[in-house]
Amino acid sequence: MENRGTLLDVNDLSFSYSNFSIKNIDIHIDRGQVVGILGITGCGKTTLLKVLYSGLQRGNGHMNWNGDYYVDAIGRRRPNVVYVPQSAPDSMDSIYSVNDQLRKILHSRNMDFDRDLLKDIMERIGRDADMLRRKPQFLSQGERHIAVVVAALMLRPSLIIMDEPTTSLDAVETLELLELIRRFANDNDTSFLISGTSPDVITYVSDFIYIMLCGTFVESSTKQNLTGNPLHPYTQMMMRMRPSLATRDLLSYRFISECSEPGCPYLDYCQYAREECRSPISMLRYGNTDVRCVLWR
Amino acid sequence: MAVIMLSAEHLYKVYLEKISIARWRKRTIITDFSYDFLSETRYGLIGLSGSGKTSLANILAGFDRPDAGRVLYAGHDVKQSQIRVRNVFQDTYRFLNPVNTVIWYEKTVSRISPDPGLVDRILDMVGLPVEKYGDIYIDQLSGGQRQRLAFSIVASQIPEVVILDEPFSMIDPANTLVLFSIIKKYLEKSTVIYIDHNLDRIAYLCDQVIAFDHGAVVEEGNVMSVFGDPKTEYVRRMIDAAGKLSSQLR
Repeated sequence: MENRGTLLDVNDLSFSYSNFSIKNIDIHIDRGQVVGILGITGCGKTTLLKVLYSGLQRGNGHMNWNGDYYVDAIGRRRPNVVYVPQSAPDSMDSIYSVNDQLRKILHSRNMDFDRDLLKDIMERIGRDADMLRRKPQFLSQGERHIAVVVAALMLRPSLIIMDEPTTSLDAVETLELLELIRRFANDNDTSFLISGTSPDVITYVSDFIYIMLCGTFVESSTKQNLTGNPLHPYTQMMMRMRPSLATRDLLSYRFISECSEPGCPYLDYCQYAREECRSPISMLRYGNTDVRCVLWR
Repeated sequence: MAVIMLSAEHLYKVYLEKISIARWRKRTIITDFSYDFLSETRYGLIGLSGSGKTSLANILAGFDRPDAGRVLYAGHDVKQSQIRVRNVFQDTYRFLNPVNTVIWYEKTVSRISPDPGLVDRILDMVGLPVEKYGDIYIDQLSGGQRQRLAFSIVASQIPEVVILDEPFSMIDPANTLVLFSIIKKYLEKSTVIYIDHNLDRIAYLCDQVIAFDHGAVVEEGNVMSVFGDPKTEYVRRMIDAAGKLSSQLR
């Protein structure tokens, strides 16, 4: 896809809780690009997205924002980013209709409720705008997810950050939501940053993918490179170890949850592990892929 | 030798749905569901969201009552039944007490399990070794860890009937493979009824597939025949969507 200019550049971002930290994060997002973050549960995806969002809102020296701004209720200029948490569809208010809640969200950002824009968005999704007149509990799970995305799009943001948007959806609803994301990224120059645990969802929707493990990126490349030729053993494992009809005979009795410090976090589970993996490894460039593994030195 | 472990006879379930302040509408969730579940077989229930999968699982597990029809456990009514029926819900707080520790569950389960050492082995396999996680309260575990613990508690009792209602929704695909392997290894003599909206996981685990739409069975059969050549438009739509999702991975 053509380069439409940088939207966000993150260099060497680190953050830590008392028992968990994310470190050395470099992210580059172009305008109109869908960027995916793929990793197992507990690898720090949600933490990273929260840090990115609050960093953008409060200002952070490691981040360089080139997108649009909005003016908040007390007149401060803020990057126009929307963060959609994992539980957003379940946390809508059951007393008010979706439309009223949309209005409230827009109000909090000093924006008017643009009926034409809403109609336009709903038309392009191919759904009836009457859907949003109902209260959230009368919508199906998939419709609630779509309502949340519509709410995010109504703010006309440059970047929408979504945390595992498809966890509670069935295949048909997932596909519809992902098509919606792709269409708005292509047409509106809205960028998306999406995290997820399942390789099929992330590879379906993203242009560029970061593979995350234990609070750090171990590989990053375009979708084509990662699906065709994954380099890091962890990426190879994630792409191969998927339950499906074709892999019915595949068995595994080792749960991947522990991180080894300070070397390669995947050391304990890696079949190629060797002595030099025990010391910290920096990101290497191999072909068009960035990978944090000594195999490709 | 496979025997009938669980049979559902003409189950009906109707919920009342509130449509305004003083008016309710009847919504039929399950219509005339009859099925005999055999032992040594893993059943997968598929269907779009809102098709009544969870309601059926609750009824089969005895957690909810049908409005009509009955459920027999190995030919007996629930009160005379001698077999062990266990279920895992998606929401683990339904049966895990947040103020108990992991070691408390480990001790309790090993007391009632036919194989007292099994719970330790399964906890090791799912990445919750008692030496490390024993003193941690349920409250402090993450969602995925709670689901793993709940599954270990159920699997280590080797029950005759296991009902799993989206038990691994917070666990990533690579690691669910471990849990499925445990099911295949230790619960091969049991009846496993597995519900998930992710068709790939059903295809991986189950032998028989039952497709559900608005409370009625629309299609059922061997996993290979249902996934290879779906007979109804409804199932075909789901399988096509799942296939399209994973199209990028070859």
